[in-house]
Amino acid sequence: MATVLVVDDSTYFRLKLKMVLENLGHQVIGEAEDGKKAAQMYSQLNPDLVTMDISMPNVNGIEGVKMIMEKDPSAIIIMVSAMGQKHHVLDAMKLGAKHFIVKPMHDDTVKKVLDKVL
Amino acid sequence: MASKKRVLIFFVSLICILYTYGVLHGLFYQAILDDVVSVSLEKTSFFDVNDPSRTIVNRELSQGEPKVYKYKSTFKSSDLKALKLSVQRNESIYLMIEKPDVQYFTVQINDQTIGSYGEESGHSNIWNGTYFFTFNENIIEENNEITILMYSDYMTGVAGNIKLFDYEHYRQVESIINLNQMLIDAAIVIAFIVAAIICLIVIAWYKTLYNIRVYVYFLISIILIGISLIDFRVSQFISMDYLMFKKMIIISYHGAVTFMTLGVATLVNAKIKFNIGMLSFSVVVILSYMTKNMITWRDYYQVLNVFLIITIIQLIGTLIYYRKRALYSAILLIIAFSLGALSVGKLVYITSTAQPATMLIDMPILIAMFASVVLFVFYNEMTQMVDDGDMPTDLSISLNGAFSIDDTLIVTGAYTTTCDTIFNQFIVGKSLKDLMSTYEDFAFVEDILKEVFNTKHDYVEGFLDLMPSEIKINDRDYQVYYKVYDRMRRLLKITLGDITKSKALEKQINEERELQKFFINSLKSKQELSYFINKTQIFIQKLRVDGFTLENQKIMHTLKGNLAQFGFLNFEKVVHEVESALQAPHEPDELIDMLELNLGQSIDLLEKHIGKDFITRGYDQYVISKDKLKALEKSYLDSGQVDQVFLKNLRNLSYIDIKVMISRYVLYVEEQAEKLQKAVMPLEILGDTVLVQPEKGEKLVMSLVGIFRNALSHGIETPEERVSKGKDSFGKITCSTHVVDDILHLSIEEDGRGLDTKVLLDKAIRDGIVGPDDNLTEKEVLNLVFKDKMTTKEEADVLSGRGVGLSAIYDIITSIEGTIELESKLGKGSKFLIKVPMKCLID
Repeated sequence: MATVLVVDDSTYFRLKLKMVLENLGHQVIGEAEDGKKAAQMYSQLNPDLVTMDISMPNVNGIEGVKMIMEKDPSAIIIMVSAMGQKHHVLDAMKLGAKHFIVKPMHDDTVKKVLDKVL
Repeated sequence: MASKKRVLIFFVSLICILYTYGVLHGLFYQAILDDVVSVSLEKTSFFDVNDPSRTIVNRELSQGEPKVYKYKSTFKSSDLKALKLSVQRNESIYLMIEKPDVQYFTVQINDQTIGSYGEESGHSNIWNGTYFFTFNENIIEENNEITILMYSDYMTGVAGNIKLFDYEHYRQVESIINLNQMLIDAAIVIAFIVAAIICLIVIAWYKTLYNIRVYVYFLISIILIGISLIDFRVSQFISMDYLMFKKMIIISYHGAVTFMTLGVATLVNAKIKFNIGMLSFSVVVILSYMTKNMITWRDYYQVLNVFLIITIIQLIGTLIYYRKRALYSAILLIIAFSLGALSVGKLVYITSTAQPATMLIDMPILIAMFASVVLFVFYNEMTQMVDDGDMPTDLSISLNGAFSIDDTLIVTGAYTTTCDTIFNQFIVGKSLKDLMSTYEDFAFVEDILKEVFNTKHDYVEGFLDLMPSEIKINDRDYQVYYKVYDRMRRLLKITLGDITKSKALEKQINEERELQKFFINSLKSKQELSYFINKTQIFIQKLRVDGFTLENQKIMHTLKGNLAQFGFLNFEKVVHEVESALQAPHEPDELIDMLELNLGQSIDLLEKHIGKDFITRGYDQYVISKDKLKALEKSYLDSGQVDQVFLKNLRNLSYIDIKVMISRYVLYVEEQAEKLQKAVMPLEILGDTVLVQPEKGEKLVMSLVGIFRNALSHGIETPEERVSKGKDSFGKITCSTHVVDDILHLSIEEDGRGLDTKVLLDKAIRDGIVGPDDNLTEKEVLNLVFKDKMTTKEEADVLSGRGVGLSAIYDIITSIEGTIELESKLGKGSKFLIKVPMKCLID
């Protein structure tokens, strides 16, 4: 079981991801709606895992990865991307994100990725 | 994969058999020793002639002590009763001395020399052996004196037992001791044979071995282990200064461990900045060069052993740190080395304490096990780059291949020869860029691979998942699997699995499913479909005459939507293509041909599968009966006895409920929503039953397609957007029909994002549809959507249209004397209200 910080600007997706993660036996200990807030919450909560949406208002996911990696280079961040955002995913992973999930997500694809990174 | 499994089973069985043999041999040896009749001469009864306080029990010499010692003991003839000796007193008696810690020794009984072993110069290696001396029983007297003279550089005394045997039991013991020596010889031979095999591997596959340095390190390591074993071989033939000999053995130990560490570290591509193995090895070499004295050298042992232990700890630490790289091979190698080290360690223990030689038995067994594990690891390392075991088994029957690339993206090392067939060229030395020349976004692939080969990243699965998972090579489809091998350098293994067949099958199934849907829809709405096909055919003729006028474009756009409802998906695509082509200079005849050809193909398909006379001329079939009805009606009217109710019912026979006609949109809404990735609840059709004359009603119902299309593409938001606005993630479209004062009120309502009147007005002003100073009411602004060329979405796609959608409806509705209005609230949704006089929908 891992503690997870879910970062997404859409309430719907945060809810959905939370359900998926809890189904898989993980605990969502925090939710943030942009990269800046995610970085702040990361320091407070120190979660095992962060799921990071790419397109968010204010501070996007890629900036969010940068901010979190500066605080903790060993952070495990998984990008959540829409179809056709592969280039952004690559940029995020260059900055230290570990893996990615493509929306729309399913339990088994999320599980596969989590099994790999944890 | 299967062959690898077989080889693994072979090696496991070999190891099991070897070990079982070792255990059985040990038991057998012990049983014989227990069984043997002998007379023991106690070591404590042997006294040093110069210092009677010392016995022959082995001890280390300190510096400056003399190297020659003489020990004496006595025994009585009556002590030999247990031995089977003859009455004639000419039987041989055998004296056994186990492990004398010497380089030379000689034995006398009653001042008669009965034998000697070793070299007086000290150039011999006999300290680990068991020695027999023979003498005739006739030299035995009542009281006997036995003298042992020893020469040794650094020890004196005997580690094992001193015993007397008769001939029969001597033979038993001697044969077993010879066997032990033979087994030690065998262990040395095994080590050298394995070294030879590794050497052969290196020579034979020099070009394709991707971690050749690892093989060389292991080659050196195993040769050194072989050399170190010579320590335990009893030999008077290796004539070497004892100090030199000991130095050679220790250098071998340390060298074996050091090169083993180097091998494993290189295998896992570990960048060890400070190799303790190398350090300890150099310390050993320097010390052995500097030390001139056996006793000082012996004192260094302890320190050197600490270095050895630290080296092994560093090796294990390295493995734990790089646990994901070559884990399988590295762990096996560590196990193998532990087996080898165990055997050597055990020997050190046996020889430093006076353990019985029984324990020596498993040393060659352990060495053989060590050697078999090393060979299996090498086999595994060699084959894993060329097997396609990453492939799911259901693909294993098709053409699969595997090859590896290095950080320069060039095919390197071993690969399956099927790759040459797949790429239709010899791929070795080719760049991935050439091999993937048909792949459109190779720059992106290159970008990913740059990261994959950056050893800074220890976790590369994420990058690999970004790589294309399917690829087309020479017109065949392949599924691609990627695996990183961290060996001497990082390599990427690419496995290709041919999925052409399954992909074609999948495509075929999808097409068939589409086709089925098409046929079912056609059968369900046979009359409407016939009507539309007919209409389209007539329209195409009209196009030939008039060309693509704005009016014709509107009709075409509506027809596109109508036929799409029935599953004429190809036709929908073709119309879309035609519409796109119209934006640029074009050849109208060619476009019309395209439309005609495609429609013809769809009709052929229908006729082939559903029947030749499926396509009638629209409602003709029905019209025929209507004629009869008319005739009936006329004759009824002529009869002069007219009942109005009966007349109405008679007429109703030919009418259809408009709700039934609208219900064809249920499927359409569902399908289009799916296409646009929107969530919509099933279309609800409410209200009164309104009977209309089918041909007249059709015109109205047909025109609704634009409204539904708009509702889905512009109106209803994506599920995410809806949830973030606090709406139900499923959108809702409702259609209702009522008749008020002989006027049909038909409304279509959705709860989408609604129209932004400001945006609409801005666009209308920009397009010159209204002047900037026209003061329009909100309602007037909304109804601008029915003007030509009004669309608020910039990009046109198959569904959303090019601004002819809503104006086409407007034209149709007005042509049947109806009106259409739009009500909309930003963020809440839109409602189209159509009013058509009933008289225009019936006769």
